[in-house]
Amino acid sequence: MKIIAVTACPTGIAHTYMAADALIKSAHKHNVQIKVETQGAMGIENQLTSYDINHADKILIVSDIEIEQFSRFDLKNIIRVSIEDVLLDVEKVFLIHCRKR
Amino acid sequence: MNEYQITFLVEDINASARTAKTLHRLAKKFKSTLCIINITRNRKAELSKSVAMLQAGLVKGDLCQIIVVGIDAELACFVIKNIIAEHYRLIGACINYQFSNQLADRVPELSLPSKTQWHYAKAQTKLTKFECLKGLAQLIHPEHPEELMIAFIKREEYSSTCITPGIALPHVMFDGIDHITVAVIASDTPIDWMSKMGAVHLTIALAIPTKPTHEQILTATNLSRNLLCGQVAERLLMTKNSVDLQALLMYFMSRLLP
Repeated sequence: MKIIAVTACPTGIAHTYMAADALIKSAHKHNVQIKVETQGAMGIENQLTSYDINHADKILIVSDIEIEQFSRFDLKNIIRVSIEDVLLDVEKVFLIHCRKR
Repeated sequence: MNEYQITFLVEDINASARTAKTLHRLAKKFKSTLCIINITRNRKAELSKSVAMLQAGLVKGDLCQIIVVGIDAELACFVIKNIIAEHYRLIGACINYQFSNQLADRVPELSLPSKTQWHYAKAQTKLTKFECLKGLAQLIHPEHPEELMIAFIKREEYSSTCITPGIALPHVMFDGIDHITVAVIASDTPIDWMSKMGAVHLTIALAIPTKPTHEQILTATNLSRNLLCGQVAERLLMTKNSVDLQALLMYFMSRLLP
């Protein structure tokens, strides 16, 4: 399964990168191929390309604020998750949202 | 039962070979359980086992702790500290060292790429989240804490800054400071942080300038990212000595753990 994710938080120095790390570390356990774009204090890093977006099965928006360039995404595939949920139990996030049905 | 720690940095890779036998022999003389934790590499081994030092796999630059739990833990720490001080860079080498801005001068391995101010307080009474944020703001900006406190509260309104069970990391970009400032409040009684993760015992406030440099951002993000690694959060929560705690924080801010 191919997942793309965007993480962002109000200050951009903690949660953005923590959530990205948590997703990347856990993805392989769930047989998920993941690419995570971070929108933090260092700006947009690891930016998702249109190829990534078009080939993704799901799009995870992990943020407590509005993200930059939201209009890139197909609304049907978007799943919004709070940063706290990812930090609290990232496995649960993968189990609920990133399973092939 | 209280846990006692000896925190140290590895300077010489051969020190393990020189100390392994002595530490193993000493560990068996105490009733307490003694473990060595290589925090950098997320390894833990019981010192009473002869292969403990091999299992810990100490490499130059690694940050380690020997933890002792049991009825004679304090005595065990007292004895083992001397051996560690002989072969490794002991952090809390003197009883009157404080949480201070000078720790990097004494232990250059802990120096950060950008100048950082440090503050610490131990809660002497049960605190609410608001009181704790107020305390942190007063530590960082004693002349005008109100503005900083409001900034902390506004950040909390977006979402709780409890980032792992037991630890909150209130963080803001703030106009009134030029350098990264870290303020820590440790509390034995739990503070309700209004988070799904539960109450907190350690709050680490990070204030960085509104126009931070690349180094300042990296320093701050290193700390937050390392908090999810291995035993980092547990070690921060268990470490009661303020100098050791500062050393851990500085180490986690200076690099990303493997």
